[in-house]
Amino acid sequence: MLQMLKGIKAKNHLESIKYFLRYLLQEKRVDAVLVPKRHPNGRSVSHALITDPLNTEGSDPLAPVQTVNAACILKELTKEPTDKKIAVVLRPCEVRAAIELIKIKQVSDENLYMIGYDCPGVYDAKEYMNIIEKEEDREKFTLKYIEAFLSDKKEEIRESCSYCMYFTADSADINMAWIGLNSSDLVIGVNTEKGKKLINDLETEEISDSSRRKEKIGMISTGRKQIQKDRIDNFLDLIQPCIRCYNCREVCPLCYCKECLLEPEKMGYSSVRYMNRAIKKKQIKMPDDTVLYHLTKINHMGYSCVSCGICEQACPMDIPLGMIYNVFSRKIQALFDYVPGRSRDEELPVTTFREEELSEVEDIQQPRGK
Amino acid sequence: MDRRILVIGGGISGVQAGLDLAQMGIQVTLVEEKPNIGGRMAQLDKTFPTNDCSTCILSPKLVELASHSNVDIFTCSSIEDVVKLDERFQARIRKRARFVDEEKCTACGVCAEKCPVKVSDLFNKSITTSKCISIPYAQAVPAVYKIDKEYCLYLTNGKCGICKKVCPADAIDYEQKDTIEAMDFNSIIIATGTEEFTPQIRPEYGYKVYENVLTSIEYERFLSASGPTNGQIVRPSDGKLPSQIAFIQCVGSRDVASGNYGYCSSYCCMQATKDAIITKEHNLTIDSTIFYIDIRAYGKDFDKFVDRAKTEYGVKYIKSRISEILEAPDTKNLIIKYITPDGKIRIEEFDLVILSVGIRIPDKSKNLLRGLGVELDEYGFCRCSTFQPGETNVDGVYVCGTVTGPMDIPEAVVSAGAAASLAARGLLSPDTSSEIMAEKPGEVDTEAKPLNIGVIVCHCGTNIASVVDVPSVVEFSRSLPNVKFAHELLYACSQDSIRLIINKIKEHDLNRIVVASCSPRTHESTFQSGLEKAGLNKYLLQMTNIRDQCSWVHQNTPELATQKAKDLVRMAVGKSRYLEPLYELYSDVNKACLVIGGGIAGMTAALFVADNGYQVYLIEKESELGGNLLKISYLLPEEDIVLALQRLIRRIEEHPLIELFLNANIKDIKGYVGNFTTNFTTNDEEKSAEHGTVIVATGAREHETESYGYKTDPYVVTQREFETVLKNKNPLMKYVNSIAMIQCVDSREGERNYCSRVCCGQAIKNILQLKKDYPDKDVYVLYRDMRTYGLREPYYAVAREAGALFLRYEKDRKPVVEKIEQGNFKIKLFNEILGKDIYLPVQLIVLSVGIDSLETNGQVAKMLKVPLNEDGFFNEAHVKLRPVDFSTSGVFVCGMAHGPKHIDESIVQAIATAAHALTIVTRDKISSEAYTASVDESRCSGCGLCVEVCVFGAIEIDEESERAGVNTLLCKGCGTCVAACFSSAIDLRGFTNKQIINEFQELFL
Repeated sequence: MLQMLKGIKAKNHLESIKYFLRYLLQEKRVDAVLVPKRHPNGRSVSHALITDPLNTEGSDPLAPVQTVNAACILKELTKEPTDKKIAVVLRPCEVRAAIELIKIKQVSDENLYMIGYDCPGVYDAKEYMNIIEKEEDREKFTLKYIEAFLSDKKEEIRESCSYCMYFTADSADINMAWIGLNSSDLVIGVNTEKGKKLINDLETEEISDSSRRKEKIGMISTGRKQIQKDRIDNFLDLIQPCIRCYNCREVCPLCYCKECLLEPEKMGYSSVRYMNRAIKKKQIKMPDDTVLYHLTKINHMGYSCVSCGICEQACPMDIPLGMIYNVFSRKIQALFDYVPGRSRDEELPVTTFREEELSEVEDIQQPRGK
Repeated sequence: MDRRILVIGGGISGVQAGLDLAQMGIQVTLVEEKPNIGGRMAQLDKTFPTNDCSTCILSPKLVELASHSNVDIFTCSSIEDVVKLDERFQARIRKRARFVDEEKCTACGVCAEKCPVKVSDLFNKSITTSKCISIPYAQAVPAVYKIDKEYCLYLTNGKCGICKKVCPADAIDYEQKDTIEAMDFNSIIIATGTEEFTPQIRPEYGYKVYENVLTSIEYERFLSASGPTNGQIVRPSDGKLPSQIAFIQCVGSRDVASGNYGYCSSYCCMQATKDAIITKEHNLTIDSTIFYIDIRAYGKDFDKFVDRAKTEYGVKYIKSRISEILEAPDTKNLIIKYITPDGKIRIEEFDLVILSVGIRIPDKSKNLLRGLGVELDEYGFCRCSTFQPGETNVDGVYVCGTVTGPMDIPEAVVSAGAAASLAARGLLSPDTSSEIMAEKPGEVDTEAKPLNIGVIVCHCGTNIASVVDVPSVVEFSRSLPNVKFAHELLYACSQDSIRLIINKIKEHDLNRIVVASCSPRTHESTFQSGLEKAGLNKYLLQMTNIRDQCSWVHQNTPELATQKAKDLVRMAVGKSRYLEPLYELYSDVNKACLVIGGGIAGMTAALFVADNGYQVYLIEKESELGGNLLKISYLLPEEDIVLALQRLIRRIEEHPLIELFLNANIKDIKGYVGNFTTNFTTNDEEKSAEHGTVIVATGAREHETESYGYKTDPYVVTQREFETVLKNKNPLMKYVNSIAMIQCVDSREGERNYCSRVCCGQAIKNILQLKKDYPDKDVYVLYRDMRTYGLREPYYAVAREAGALFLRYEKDRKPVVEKIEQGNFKIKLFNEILGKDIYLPVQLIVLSVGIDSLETNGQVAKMLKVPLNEDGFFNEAHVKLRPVDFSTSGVFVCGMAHGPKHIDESIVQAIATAAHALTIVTRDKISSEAYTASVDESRCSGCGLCVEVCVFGAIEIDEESERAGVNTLLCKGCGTCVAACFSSAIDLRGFTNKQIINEFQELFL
């Protein structure tokens, strides 16, 4: 149920988010806030861990750029237990990645408050930087972007955002909602007990009519569903440019291994092996095993992949990795009726055995075993 | 002192009893009449309710028994006579001639291939033929051929002799004679089992007259992939696929018309259900119909199995007793005329009819039992008293398996454990350790030495050599890097071959041995012991199977087979380069046992462990011992329950080795097999106990119902309350003229979709007591299926004779109780035959409410890392063959914690858990497997996936380091964690990533 914070009238959606963050710090509800912030001279937006309420000025979570999946930052922030409480402001794909990481004990949310928000999508980071160089007021640019989003003017957003179906942060502790709502209201959805505790004595009012919001969300979803691809016919051609630089792995929030077994030295490959394989197969591609690399990566993190598309942004060879991983992982997730990051209580398919699952791959006519 | 026990019968119960005793360190002599052990279970295709392959789960037990150093197996043997002398038994065992030397025979099969005489194949129920020299099935134990002397041309008239000529192992011995050996035993376990009813006694079913009428066991052979039709379902008359199969239940069971078969054979309902499901799995076009009297799906998860048969596999169940089968002469189809539940006569045609035949005690076994002075019941079963299951009237003679009454496989396994526990009494003590650690010669340090690989290629007689060009494989092996020696042998597993291998290891300073032969399952230990004798660590052996997976399957393409054999050898050599010496870990064993629960199961288990000299901590949450038994007044057959319980409690309280804690609450249980620590409170006082094993006997409770007006009307009572009414001669009986008992209240549907097993027997017991005290009062039993299984069935007949009226109702047409006034009811019940409702005026309603699991089971399960089923009862390690064990070593379960059961069943299970606890505490040290998982901490991210997937509870995430750690003693080396770890941070010793990758690299070179 969405609630409106009473007595707050802001100029726009961005203002109301900033207001809430400043409030959390001022009232010492949290010790720090992690939020994307513009820098006076920089071209991009980067995350800042803010402890002084005054420093929340310049926060710009709605800026249409994602430089890293912030779930990766949470791994760093909660590596060791600390007693400092942090409110982390996350895009929906970051919330979902964080929940997956909590399940596999790579993030501890003991002292984290996950504050999600409706996400309008982002540009490719390099494109954003090129655009922003020409803009005078970067905050205005963000607001302009939101305006365009809301009035359905087509913006050249990153491809993986263009078919994203999870653009509201329904599994965060608190979701800051603005799509289909009055721009002057500060509206939040409280999804967890923890979220409730964070705002417990704030005066709120339930929003009785959110039909405009529902309609808007439905419309966006329908449009995006049509863009989603269901199969890839030229996988090998698409992967061909891969130089196995491991950028996609480095930026992936779900790749959590300390050492990746997909590196040749981990496989124990000898130089002789390359020659032997080349002799046997007449020729081999170098660097080799690029297909094996991507298939194994999908096999490992496919059930948890949140399709944030950060891998595609990181690829120096412009391989449409976001699309590739989205198509594969959606199929894996559908098999297990699993949506990564949907709920903390949903058990990972890889650790759960259900007698009835995967029956479609069994053939009843074949006598099983001997 | 020689501690030796005689086990008669090599079926599953005899095998299990033998194994349990052997593991307690007691010598076992097992005598089996047939040439191989395994009994009827070996003939089954699958097992219910999991549809596991019967042979696959049985074979490992047979191999384990046969290779156990404490066990001597006498096959083709029988007991001549037994004399009791000074508390010991002297038995003379006749071993009939096999005409094949058991030591020499390698089961290569050349003899049978060349033997010109065909005889009927008894193992396959004579559906097909085998040779006169034969082995019943590929996995038979012992794997030794036998000549049928009745038909052998050489033995009957001195001609032929082909098998002797062709046997490469020189194992044929036509001169072999019967021998008689006399041996001394401390006690005897009789597990002679039963035979199937011969349906010829029922001529109306046309068995052996109509070709397409089979018995259930014959049909099992048809279903079996290793059976006479290789698992094809065909009609015997024309070899065609049937489309309609009928199963007829209770042939030779619940059947006094064809002889003295008044009992229920217990397992046939489930067997027919299983066979109908398997039939559908074989071929979707075959439909099955089961004609039954009552569906007795009383075991754990059995009702769910029957539900699946109905809903998923479309099996039809028709309640009707079949009086006759006719054959259509042209099609040989079978015509069954039956009366439907609504009283109409129907005629249906089937292509195949399966008679679900019951079991009975063969005369031979009756004679053996009577010869020992054992008293038998009217059917020839050695029926035991409720409180002494497994015991006979003769001291030192114990019984298990179907000789005590009809039962299914897990019950036989449980009773075997109990018999082992009983037979071992007085033979164990904490001072004598059973574990005699074999002295090993000093091991050569191979670490610093250069790789010297030896390759042995086996001909396996002609098994391999007739297809694979062995000399060229040897030549090829010599060309591989690091191979210092390669050699071919006719039988690599023979004694002289092993000696040769030992000599060559020393001569060439070999430090890795590759044997290309058969499966490791058959001879790995043979070769490993060779390595040990040569001073090598036995895990420096690598076998590769060029027989089962090469010569046997590529007979028609010898050149390609030879190429494949070379590839397999190259792979094995590739892996062997990375083999490392492995060692088992040893850990001390705390000899005490913790028993959780002071009901009948817990008390019995505690006594059996303590009586053998081991300390027991018995923990009961209530303020007194006894559990559910305190509320029970009568038993069937009649026994003084109060006296029995008082005796038991007194023995517990007075036992010097049992420390009893009442009003106790467990706080936590830490540790692992051999080394547990439990913290608990007793009367609010904090305590702690150290122990090596845990027996879970937490029990269950009567279900609380709100149905049929219970809780609002004092004239609606449960069966248990009714028992008390009868016992106290409660004056309310004065106002009661007729009584209705309603069975399956809140059971076998919805959230409680299981059978509580005891209620039908409970109702019958109360009816008999009622009719004894108040013969004139009427009683109606409204039931869905009467499940008075096994030897309880005759009491059901007695209840009917006494005038109780049994009226059936369907799940979706439950009886409706209309209350006229207090103590005056009108029950509306739909009667199928009349096709309309009938009304029963009654003054008292008795509800069979069944049994619920305890809510607290969840906490105990979590502390012990053991699973519960969806109904909240503890789940055993394996439903068939490990019914009282958990996957987690050293933890056992008995009584109603495991599922609803009768008192005698709880007791027998409790005694069995004691046996299994004793197999651990009798050892000074327990050893781990050598093949265990290990964690590379530098790679571990602590994600916990491995913890989730480990069924043995062997992995934990260390709180400090946040890294996974493997408890080697609990790890069984299954490798699941290795597969689950994305980071390759876990490796399985003996199957490391490095070893496997290098093995494969050789293939893809």
